[in-house]
Amino acid sequence: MAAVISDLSRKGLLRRLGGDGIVLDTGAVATRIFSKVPEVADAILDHYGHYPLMEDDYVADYRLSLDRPGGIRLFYKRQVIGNVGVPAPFTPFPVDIAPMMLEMTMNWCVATRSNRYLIFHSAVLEKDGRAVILPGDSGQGKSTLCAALATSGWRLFSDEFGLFDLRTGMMMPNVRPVSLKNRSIDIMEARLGEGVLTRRLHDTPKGTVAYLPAPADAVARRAEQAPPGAVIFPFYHPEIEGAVRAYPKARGLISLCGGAANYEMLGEQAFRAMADFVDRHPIARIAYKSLDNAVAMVERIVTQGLTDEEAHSAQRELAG
Amino acid sequence: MTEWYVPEDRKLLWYERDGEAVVFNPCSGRSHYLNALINEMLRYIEEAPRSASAIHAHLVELMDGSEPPELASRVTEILSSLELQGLVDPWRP
Amino acid sequence: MSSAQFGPNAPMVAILREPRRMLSLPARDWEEVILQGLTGVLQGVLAAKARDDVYFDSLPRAVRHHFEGVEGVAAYNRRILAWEVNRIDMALRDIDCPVVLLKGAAYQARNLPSLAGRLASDVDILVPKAHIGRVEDALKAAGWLSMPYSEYDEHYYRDWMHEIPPLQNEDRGTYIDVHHTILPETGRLKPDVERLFAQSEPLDGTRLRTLCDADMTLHTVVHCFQDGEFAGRLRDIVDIDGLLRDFGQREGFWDRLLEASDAHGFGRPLYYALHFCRALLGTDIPDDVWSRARRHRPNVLSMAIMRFAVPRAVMPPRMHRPPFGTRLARTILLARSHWLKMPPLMLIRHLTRKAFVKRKKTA
Repeated sequence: MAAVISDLSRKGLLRRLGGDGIVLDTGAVATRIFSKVPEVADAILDHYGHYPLMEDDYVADYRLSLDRPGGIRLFYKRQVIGNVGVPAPFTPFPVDIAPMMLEMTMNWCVATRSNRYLIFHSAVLEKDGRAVILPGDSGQGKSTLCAALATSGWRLFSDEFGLFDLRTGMMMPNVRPVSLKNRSIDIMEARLGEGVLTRRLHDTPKGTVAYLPAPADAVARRAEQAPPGAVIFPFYHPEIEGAVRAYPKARGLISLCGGAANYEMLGEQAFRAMADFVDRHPIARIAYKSLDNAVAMVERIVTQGLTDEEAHSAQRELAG
Repeated sequence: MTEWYVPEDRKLLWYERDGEAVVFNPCSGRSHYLNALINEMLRYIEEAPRSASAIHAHLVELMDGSEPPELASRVTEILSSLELQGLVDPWRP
Repeated sequence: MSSAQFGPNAPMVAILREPRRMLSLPARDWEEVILQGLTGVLQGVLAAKARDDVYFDSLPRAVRHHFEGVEGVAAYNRRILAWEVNRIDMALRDIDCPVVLLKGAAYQARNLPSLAGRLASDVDILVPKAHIGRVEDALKAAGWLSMPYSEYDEHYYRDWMHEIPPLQNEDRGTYIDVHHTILPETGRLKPDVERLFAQSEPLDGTRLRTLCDADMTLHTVVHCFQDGEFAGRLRDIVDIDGLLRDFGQREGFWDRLLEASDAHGFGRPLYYALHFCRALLGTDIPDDVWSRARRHRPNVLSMAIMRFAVPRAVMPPRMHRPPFGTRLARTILLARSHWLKMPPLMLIRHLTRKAFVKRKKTA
């Protein structure tokens, strides 16, 4: 059986992190991590312990280090700062939120240097051979829904960046832990039981944060692409339950393009691919109050499409 | 009187559904959402160089009596926005 | 065992000189080369060489993916640059003086094959000093804005350097630099600006022009060996190498180059450029050209310092702190070029004033 990262002793992991680094292969990309900070080693074990140990001569896509910044704070309130080898707007953070720093720094690399793909700010999951794209910025319930789907039979591709390969028309997994904030942590803990999520990180720039490590199946199948099936903009609403509205096509297109970080960069090819996309697949909004209902709606829309009523809601919106 | 036109080298790509459109300008690399009104204006200008008053008259005809009173100033506003975005240029014969 | 960090055997330099060597580059060098390609703004050139000269599919996956991404970025940059030039052409339609495109915008306008992978999105133009006010006004009327520089910096730009402070387009966020000569007015080298305009060539279908081939080459040559910053200047040496490859095949180019160099007094920087292009990138320079250029070589000691400093200093920044030798080399060269740029009194005053507005130039 192939070795995984948690097969290393903590000491062995630290030695590698301080030397040639440890490669995390998350599917679409691989990141080589360097660090001399023990908390970073712990974060790697918590988030990626079940990921395969890569060979020494593997060429990673990104290099990043998480180390103590030089300077006067050496003995007081230990801090860590990211370095990705190119200028980046990172600032030092307390060492006890190292797991979040690791994820944010890895996100920075993907967001700025995966221009081979069209990058959507979205969660992506797959079921029965089709991928659902859930666009949205943090704080709109996207991650909670993503975590719920990832633990209800959907294969996690990513909770933050959906990578679309224009050449093949397929979504590409980049399997990383799902980040949960504040209330979402309580909600998911209630659903999944204790001990599944990583420990809570307090007083982070985004409040309280915890992570759901990627399910083993998602990690094992991280090289398997899937065609997109639907784009669903999810909105948590404390009063509306189960509303589904299709986007008028042109608005759906501009929203989709607006939600892609490097859409303009990829130019005409991206425009044509997205126009085609919008014609073929449902683009809809859902408003929901309960997570279970949201999961059911997503499932239904992806596998069965929109009802006539829902599709025509777009026409009514245009006329009004 | 100034007229506006879409230069031939602009080679705009259109995605038009239900009266609305997204237009892609390969020169600037930008995509623009056009509501029904702006879509109609840009299509009209694409056919031939047009002045603001000609565009206004065309829209009035289409709206068949239901045009809003401030349509003329709206047309001027939209034209200057289209020019700034590089979708139309002033016509210099 | 670690690879050479600078000089012709540094992995980055070796693959620029001989792209075939990409196929045998060890895994541990690739990740650093990718990063250096980014910091040194050479990733477009590397991707282009990988496509043209190497069996692309044999490269490691991360490398292929990186280059594919870079190709997208490069195509985007070309589009942006072409659009900027179009908009500038429109904005200056009614101005009655020559407007000469410089650097990246000029290379692209002339479709120079060896510079196809180059990344740039800002535009530099050269206009006669007497017209600079009118040009500035026309650009502002068309949507470019002055940046909020301090009085000191405005003074530095206008009176000491050779340009007005950069203007930023309000809508697109791109920059344009308007120059009235190609080197700082207070520097020791004084180019013949009228000759630059006289030899410039029109760009069909526009009201814009570019420098002639010899002047285009000399422009990059003097900036590489006169400006303040040497860190990451490998890119300029790669540009010079590219220009010499493309122009070197043209009838009479080498003679024009040497003549123009004599006319402007650029013999010394040209000598350095030819030396280091050959030493690092193996540029093919005809023997008779080399012997004529050698007449402008410096004394043995100066050349020894340059031989030590330049190969170290031009390397793109690395992920971890550069070796002491590189930092020393950069300090030496920084002091040297400020010395060349400004009279000594001004130099002291300038170096003591820390807040110098800098933005990352990408032309």
